[in-house]
Order: sequence, then structure tokens, then C-alpha cells
Amino acid sequence: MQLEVKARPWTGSFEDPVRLHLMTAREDLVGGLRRYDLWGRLGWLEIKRRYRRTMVGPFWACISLLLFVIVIGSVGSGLLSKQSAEYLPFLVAGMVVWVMLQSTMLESVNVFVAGSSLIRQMNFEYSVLVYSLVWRNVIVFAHNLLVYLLILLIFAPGKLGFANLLALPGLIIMAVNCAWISLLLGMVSLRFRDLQQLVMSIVQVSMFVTPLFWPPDGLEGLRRVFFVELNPLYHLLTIVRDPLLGGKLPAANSCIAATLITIAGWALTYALFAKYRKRIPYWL
Amino acid sequence: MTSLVLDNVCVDFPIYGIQRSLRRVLFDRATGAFVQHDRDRVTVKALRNISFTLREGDRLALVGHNGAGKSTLLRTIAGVYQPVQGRILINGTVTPLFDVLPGIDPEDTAYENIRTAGMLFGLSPAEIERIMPDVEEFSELGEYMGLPVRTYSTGMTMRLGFAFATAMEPGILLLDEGIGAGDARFLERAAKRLEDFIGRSRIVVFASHSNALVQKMCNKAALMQGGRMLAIGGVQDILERYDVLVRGGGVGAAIEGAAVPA
Repeated sequence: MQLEVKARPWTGSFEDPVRLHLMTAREDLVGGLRRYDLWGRLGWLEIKRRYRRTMVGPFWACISLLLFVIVIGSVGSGLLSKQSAEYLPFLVAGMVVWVMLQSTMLESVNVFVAGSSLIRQMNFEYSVLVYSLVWRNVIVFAHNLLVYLLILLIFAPGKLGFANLLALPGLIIMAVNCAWISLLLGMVSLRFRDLQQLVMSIVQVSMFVTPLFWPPDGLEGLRRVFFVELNPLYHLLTIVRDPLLGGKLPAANSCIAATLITIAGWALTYALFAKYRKRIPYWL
Repeated sequence: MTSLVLDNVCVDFPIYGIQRSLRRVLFDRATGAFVQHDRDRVTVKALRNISFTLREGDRLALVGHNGAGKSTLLRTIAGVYQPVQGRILINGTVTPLFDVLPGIDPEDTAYENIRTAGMLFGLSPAEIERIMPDVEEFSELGEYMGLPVRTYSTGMTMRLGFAFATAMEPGILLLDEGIGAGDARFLERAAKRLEDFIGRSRIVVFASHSNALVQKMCNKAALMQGGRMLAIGGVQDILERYDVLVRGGGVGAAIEGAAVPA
């Protein structure tokens, strides 16, 4: 069959400029960030949907967190022989941050699968899906802060103050990190579907090995180096948790570590996204 | 001037099966067999060397069997799939209408869904407010507009989507067949509105099995088969060639004397 159509470069011309019909990773990430009205709305609608037809709505997240903190808190303060007034604030401050990290990781393995009907329909900034995921977890975080306020008011009102607002820069750094984590996990687990299960078990295990239920000083030697100093989740946790406990400035090494994690994480994610962004629709 | 150029565009779909597993890739890497595996990687050549140029006012119909590559071509022009070879040059905005209401969520009301879909298409809040009365009026959903879409019948959802899609200002309009449905009365109104909508577009690429619609709406047609564009030209000429192909006249007979796509 003589059907081979020869490849000929297009040599026609138009009065007006034509542009190449494709989007780079940079255009995607920057342009996506500018569409804050869209990802803000998508994130918000998802929260609304999750709790539609429930009585207390998004406060269900708060109630379950409160229950968790009170129960685990009373067991933990007994096990670690700590005062409730000391242990519960520590636990709740850690948990509000952890919930954000954890649900970001768990939801990000599905971020592109959930947006598949959009990705198959049009060429848009895929990062919008990522930003909306991070945004809705920030909204949940804001709800959970109520539990934190309640526990601190009851057990350690002295640890509340304006200095606690130092957690805000830490929160921003964490949100920036959540964005790359979400984009990276979303991309890789779209291509390799096994990753979903792997991420789930890693998240589960890291909840216990990260100093969340126990103070970091409780470990010594090699174990401390491994589970505390070299644990990226610990540093991200610390930069928000420390200011939440009486406006303490986070340790310098955690600040430096968090900065390095942010740079390295985004560098890796950007490199992969730049290379594989165009493959994402094919992986669905 | 709005224009659309496809220059030797090829699209391959990799079929991921067993090799989608990370374990296998890691295992293969460990055993040094990673590179070799390319040969049992299955790819479907969905589009092969597609080239054509459309200028303002062109209405191109894509005709061909199921699986000829019409939908893939539309999605490639929409920018969903990046060509593995060749390039697409564009002047103007692309309005893809495959699912009429992108990002539709059954739990949200019609108003909410229209706002979301409008934002996805890049409409400003003011533009969305401007089309809202039109959507309300044409969809004839009345009080239902404030209820969750999950309470709608299939026909009502279709009406909402159609009303929204055709309320927009299209640039380069990409239409897949089967847009619009509903009861007989709605179909009649829909046909008029669709005509008007297509008329407002700068360029239209339209995949359809309906000869009547193609003859009415389009000034050009292209015959597709097996991911290739066999011929492009006048509507009547291409429909006749398609007819030859359908009757089993073979590809050779169908494209005899046809203009080579360029």
C-alpha cells in the first residue's frame, strides 16, 4: 500500500504570529499558581463535598483529632511518666502538623487520577490540582487548630501567646514542601501504581518513628541520628511545632534542614516534571 | 487571524501492562536487562504524519470508521496529548468540547458546576456571570439550578452541559460527535443553537458520523483511517470517498486522485 505521507516541514506563513501549542513545566507551575481563584475554589468545594449532609461538617476532623489526642494522650503520659499538662500540648501540637503532612502524602498518590477527566479534556496547568490539594489540607489544618487551642487552654494556657504566631513562617515552608511532595508522589505513583501501597505503609510507619508521640530527646546515639536528625519529616514537623508550644524558636539545625529539604525536593520534582509533564496524560 | 497548523504530527500510545510495576523495572535494572525491554513494550500508533493548515472561517469535518483516530486527533489539537513527533502551531484560543461540563461534580448545584467549569475554561468571574442567565434560560432547569446535579435526570444534565458549552465564545472549536441530547423539543432548539455556536467560532474541527450535519456545517472534510489522514478536500468529494471505503472499495480506490494532505 503506497500510503506513506512524506514528512515535510511546514513552510507556510501568516500575518500574525503562531505559537507552539505546548506548555512547559515552568509555565505550568507559575501559571497554575496564578490561577488561585480556580485552585482555591476546587480545594474549598472538595471540603464542602466531603462533609455535605453531615451535621457538624468539617468539624468531624476536629472531633476525631480531639478524641485521638485525649485517648493517646492519657495512655502516653502514663507510659512516658509525663504530666498531662506537658504531654497533651506536645502531642496536639505535633498532631495538627502531622495530619497535614500525612493526608497530603496519602492524597497525593491519587492527585492526577482524580483529575483524569480534566486532563483528558483540556490542556491546563496540572499544578492546579496539586495546589488545590495543598490548599484543602491547609483549610483542614486551620480547623484542627481549634483542637490545639482547646487543649492548650485547658492544660497549658501559659504556652499560648502572640509568640506562637512564629509558627506561620514554618507553616508556609511546610505548605511549599507539601506542594512538591504532592506533585512528585502524584507523578511517580501515576506511572508506577505499586507506589500507592508503598506510600501508605511508609506513612503509617513514619508516624511512629518520627518524634510525634515521644520527645526527640528520648533517643540517644545512632538511633537519634537516624530517626531524628536524618528524618526530614522531623525537621518539617519541628519548625511548626516548636513555636506552637509557647513561641519557642525552632532549633537552627531544623531550620537549615527544612530549607535544604525544600530546595532539594523542588529541584528533584522540577527536573522530573520538566521531563515527564507531557507523559502524564498517557499514564492515566 | 486565527489559524491552526499541524506539521507532521505523530502520536503513539504506550500500552502499560505488566511492565507498569515498579518491581519489574527495579528487578530488570538490577539484572541489567532494562534497555532490552523496549522491544516488548507495546505502543499503538494512534496518529501518523498528520499535516494540514486551517485558516479563519474553515470548518473541517473528520470522517472515518471508529478507531480511525478522529478523537485522538481532536485531543491532540486540544493539547491533551503531546505529539511524539511533529508540531502544532496555533494562533487563537482552543475551545475543546468533549465532555460538555468539565470537572462536573454531582454533589454540587448547577450554579456551582457552571462556575467551576467556566473557571476551568479560563473565563473571568464577570464573563461567568454574563453567561449565567443565558444558561438558565436555555437549559430550562428553573428551580433545579439550585439543586445538586445528582438529582437531575440524564437528559437534564445534558441540557445543562450543552447550554453552558454553547454559551461560551469559542475560538478554535473542537467538537466530538454526540454533543447535545434530550427530548425531541430540546433537540430542535439545540440544533439551532449549535449552528449559531459553530457560526461564531473562528475555526471548527468536528468529528461526526452524521453526513447531514457535516454537509450543513462544514466547508472542508478529511478522511481518516488507521491513524492516517488519507485525503482532505471538499465535503462532497471526501464523503464520496468515505462511501467507497465503507463499501469495501479499499483504500487505494478511496484515495485515487485525491489531494495529498499538506
